[in-house]
Amino acid sequence: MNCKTNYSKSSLCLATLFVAFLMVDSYASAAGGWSFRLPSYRIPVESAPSVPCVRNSTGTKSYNFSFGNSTVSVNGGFEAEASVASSGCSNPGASAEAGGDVNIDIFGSSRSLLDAKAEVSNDSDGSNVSLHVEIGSTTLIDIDRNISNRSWSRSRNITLLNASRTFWVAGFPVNVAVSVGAGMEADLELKAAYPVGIDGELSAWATGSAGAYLSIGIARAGVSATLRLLDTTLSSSMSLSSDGGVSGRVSLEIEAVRIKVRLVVDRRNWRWRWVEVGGITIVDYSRGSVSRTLLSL
Amino acid sequence: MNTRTILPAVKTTSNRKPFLVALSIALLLVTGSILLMSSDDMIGPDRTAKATVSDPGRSAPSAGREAKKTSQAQPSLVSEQETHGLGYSRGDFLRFRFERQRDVTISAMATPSVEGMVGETQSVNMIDSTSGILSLKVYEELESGWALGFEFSEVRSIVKSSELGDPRSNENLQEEMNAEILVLVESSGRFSKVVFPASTGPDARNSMKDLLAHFQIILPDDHTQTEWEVEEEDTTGTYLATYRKNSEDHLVALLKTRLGYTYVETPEATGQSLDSMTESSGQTEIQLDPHPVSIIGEQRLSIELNGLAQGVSSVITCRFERVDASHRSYPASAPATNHLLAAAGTNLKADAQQGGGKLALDPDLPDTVEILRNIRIIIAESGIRSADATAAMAQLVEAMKRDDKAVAAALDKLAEDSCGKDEAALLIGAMGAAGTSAAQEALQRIITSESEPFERRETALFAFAQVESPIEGIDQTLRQAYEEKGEIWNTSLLLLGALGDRVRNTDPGRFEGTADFLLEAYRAAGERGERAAALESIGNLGLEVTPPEIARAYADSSDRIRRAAVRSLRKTFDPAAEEILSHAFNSDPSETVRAAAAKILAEFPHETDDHFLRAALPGESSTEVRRELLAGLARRDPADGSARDLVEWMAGNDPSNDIREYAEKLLR
Repeated sequence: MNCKTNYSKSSLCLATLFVAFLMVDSYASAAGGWSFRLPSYRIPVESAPSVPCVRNSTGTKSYNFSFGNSTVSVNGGFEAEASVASSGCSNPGASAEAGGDVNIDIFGSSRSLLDAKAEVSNDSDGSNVSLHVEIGSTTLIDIDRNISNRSWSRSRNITLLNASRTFWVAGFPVNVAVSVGAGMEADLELKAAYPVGIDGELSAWATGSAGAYLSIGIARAGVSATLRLLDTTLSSSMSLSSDGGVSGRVSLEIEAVRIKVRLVVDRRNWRWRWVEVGGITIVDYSRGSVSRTLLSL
Repeated sequence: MNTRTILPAVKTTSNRKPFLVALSIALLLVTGSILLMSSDDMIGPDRTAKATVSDPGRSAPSAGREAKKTSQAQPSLVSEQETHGLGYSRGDFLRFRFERQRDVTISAMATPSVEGMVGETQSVNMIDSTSGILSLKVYEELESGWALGFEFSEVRSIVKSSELGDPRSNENLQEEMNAEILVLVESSGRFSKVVFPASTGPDARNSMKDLLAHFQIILPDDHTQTEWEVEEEDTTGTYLATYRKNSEDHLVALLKTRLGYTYVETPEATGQSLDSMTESSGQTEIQLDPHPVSIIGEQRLSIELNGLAQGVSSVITCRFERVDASHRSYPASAPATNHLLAAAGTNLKADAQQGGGKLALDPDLPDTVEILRNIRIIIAESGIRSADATAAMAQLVEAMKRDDKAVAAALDKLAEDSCGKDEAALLIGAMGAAGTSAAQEALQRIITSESEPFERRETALFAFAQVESPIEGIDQTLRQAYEEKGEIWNTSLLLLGALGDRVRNTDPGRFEGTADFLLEAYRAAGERGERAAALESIGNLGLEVTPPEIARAYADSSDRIRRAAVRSLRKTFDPAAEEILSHAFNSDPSETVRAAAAKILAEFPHETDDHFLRAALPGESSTEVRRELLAGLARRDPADGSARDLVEWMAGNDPSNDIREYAEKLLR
């Protein structure tokens, strides 16, 4: 949910957007940069001379985000978790999961873009692979099988979300429009046999354009924005051994976010298409790629 | 038989008694005279209009006679009673010289972090100056008002902007505006129907409507009123206006003031109303004698956009000066009036439709060949995740919606060996977003093609999930794919439920058929995963009533089946569903099941401001349950105050740093 404040009508959402980014920056700086490691912990619970019990559990590690403004915004989070208890423990087994969800708001209307979760487990009930994918609040993959291996490879989906509204000023149409392409791509290998783990990538992106144009037949004036709101990839490489050993990590890559806003005047060319004849760039914000380790084993 | 016409509605023949006829006519004339004499005390502009018909200074219009000028540009001297109404009578011809300037500014704010533009509001401005001659012709006095013709001529339209350089003549608009518009005006003065020539495009229509709106002078029934308030509409929306009337030197001066909008015209139903974001003001001075002598107005309108643009503001100044007033006869007035009465017409609201005779295709849209060529280039240069790729996809979707040949061209492209995975995903996604019958059939062909790779078939299934009105044949295709248990059975089964939901209202029989199929699939399913998938598909469908199968599934010993049972109720709102969800949230032994129930319960508002969620949150020890609850709240309508309260509470009080941080981000 992108909760809007009533009092902020006068401060346009570009400012909000930047404040959001700055806050994210500040948070990252305060946390010592984007590449800090979240500690896993190792708790020896039981011990026996021959077969020691080794338990490793990371707990759920997540990263949540929210970018955009009240015209269009995205929010969501990614998470990962892993735990293993060696064969010397009373309840031996291993499990791992990774996933994420992304929602988008356009003109105050909320929509889920992606909600995906992959789980693998190996315990007294056997090995199990589970994969759940919702796109646009519709579940399109729901696999839950007692198998030792499953690959979900090179799956792609692109959804186009369009919204526009027109109102008239002095007999001229003013069109406010948002067009966002939201995509997901997965290439995951789910391994429920030892070494248990999830390898591969899950990506989601949302890019598009937004604009508000006033059209006077041969010319138009307006605000034109190109948006790269979200481009993230969750990379997972986890290996949980039956002896309690763990290795690998789950990281989140956030590619360069770029928002460019221009005030422009266009005129029709001989083919009756719009050609920009003047304008100024009022926002050209970009930031480099950052990465964050969600889970380090 | 010799027939002669005495009055338009009275005919006699030579074999009737001439004395009785003459007596009848005399009685009619006497009665009419008494009525006309008493009209000084009558109210309503139509009656005044009839009074002007009897003005001896005017010649009665008759067919075939030349126009006779009865008054010049100077106002005629008439009594206040006469000027109470607009006073049009058949044959009136008024000629005005007009000038209008529309000064429009659109602005956005540079953020403080951008160097050199510290918090400044930047804007671009365009000025449209339009001038010309407007001739008002009174074709007919009708019981309900008048049939008028507004003929524009010598129109000049100039657009100025500093970015455009020299002022540019808007020649297309000028050409289209040199036309006559028929208007049905009610006796109150309200414009009830406007009929344009078919060749007039929307830009010209709206420009002319904006001008015509100044001639909409709505008068009260009671002519003694000196102030009144009415609701009127123009191209921008519906607004409240007050009128003040002053009589001086046999002229009536009206001052019309805009009070504000009650509705801002927006054809799309998306998003919140613009009324609260709009401010308008303006005054128009109108002189009547009783016809309009001059109309001078200034209007200001500003709309604050809560988005990428800061706002739009406009100042319109407009001046109509009468240069000629005469009385004419219109040999062809009857066809004009008949056309006006018979045509569908429009009103003064802005016209978003393409005029007849215009090209149906948006001229701004490249042709399909160009779009498809661009897509490949864009993917190669900028990648599938670029804004350019989205723009190209949006163009392709528009092309597909307008012409099935675009779908065929995309299929041809997919058949090429050089079509990469990203390109294929975009083309297939565009078919789903277009959602036309041709696009759906193309997707169906990909889904059922054994020669297509699995990933392309899966992408086509995903794309189908965007379709709002699924074709009937797809149900059978999906059922078959499920029953064959091939590699796409899982997604086929899930999509079947989702598409069933789309036809719930339009085809209840098809919806019920899908519900029966999915329940049978659940009953017949063997392994746990298949049962869970059937339940998940039932969740996509959204049953109206919780069936016994779901209640039994919730009693299953497997956590996964119980979770699937809970999720199957995510679109079911009967008491049984609420009971199962509440039980799962409060008491299920599995944290995963509780979390699934929390998310579903949080997604939709509940009575008494989600009291049970408020009560449960402080004592909830499971991080997973609280996180899913927050994820559910995130999907609610952003305007939901109860959800916002809950998110605020979590931002301030949740024991988990991650959850507090996520909640804070959601509140921004």
